[in-house]
Amino acid sequence: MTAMLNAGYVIGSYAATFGGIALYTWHLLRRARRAAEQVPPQDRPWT
Amino acid sequence: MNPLINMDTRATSTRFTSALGLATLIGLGWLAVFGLFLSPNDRVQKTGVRILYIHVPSAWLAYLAFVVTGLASAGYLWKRTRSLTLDRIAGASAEVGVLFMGITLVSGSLWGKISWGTYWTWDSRLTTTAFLFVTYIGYLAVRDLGGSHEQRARRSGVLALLALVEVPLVHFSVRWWRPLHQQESVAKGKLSDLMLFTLFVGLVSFTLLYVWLVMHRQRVAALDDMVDDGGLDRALADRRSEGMP
Repeated sequence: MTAMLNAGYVIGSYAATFGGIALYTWHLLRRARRAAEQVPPQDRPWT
Repeated sequence: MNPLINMDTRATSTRFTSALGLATLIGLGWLAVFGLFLSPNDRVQKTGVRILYIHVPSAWLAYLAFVVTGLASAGYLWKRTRSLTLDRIAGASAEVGVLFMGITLVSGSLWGKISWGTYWTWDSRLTTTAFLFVTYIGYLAVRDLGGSHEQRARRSGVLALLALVEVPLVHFSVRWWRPLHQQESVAKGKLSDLMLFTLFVGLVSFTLLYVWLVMHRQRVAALDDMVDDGGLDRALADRRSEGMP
């Protein structure tokens, strides 16, 4: 029973980690697309 | 569709960041497989040791992110190297550092529940870590206070240098105050080869992720600054045209 409960905490920590990273990445890329719509590609130094 | 190599990311992506994103995804996949399935249970911590493969690298990356923020801020404040790019790198690194620090706190709480029977205790390591987390949230809030880009860079640069003092305080808290939190296990050779390899995979994949996120975040900040400058130029032009007879 304890082992099952501990496995839940382990899986929960991985889910929170990967979920948090995915959520932040999604937010960042959406923000990038919105900002890029207002700046022509030739003005972006990295392109 | 893979979110890290999706063509929609081209707003801030280059061939290099796309390759880096792919390498990061592969690394995170390896981390999940080794961390959850292939690495053995620890003799004392049992399955709880698996949380450390994300907890320890995320803590190290948060430290690294805050040190980069401090160095980039010092670079901005020093007249010879003054550049808004350094300020944007500082802000981007702090934001990503807050993400990693959040992961550290959540994974640490779950590990604490297994090992200590509680999600939280006010020992020196946990308290200083929480304080560091709140400090950098404050730093990000200060960056959003408004004013010119230079004003933002100056005030947040000074704050970043002050906040940097907290990083060694957190790291050495386990030696100075002997809290409930365990001391360094890696340096003392308490891990088996496969455990060390899994930890190494975590460290490498999180480092790649950090670089990928900071590159994109600082480019978003550059785009935001360009939009702000464009808006200001338009407002000034409108004002001048209104004043014309």
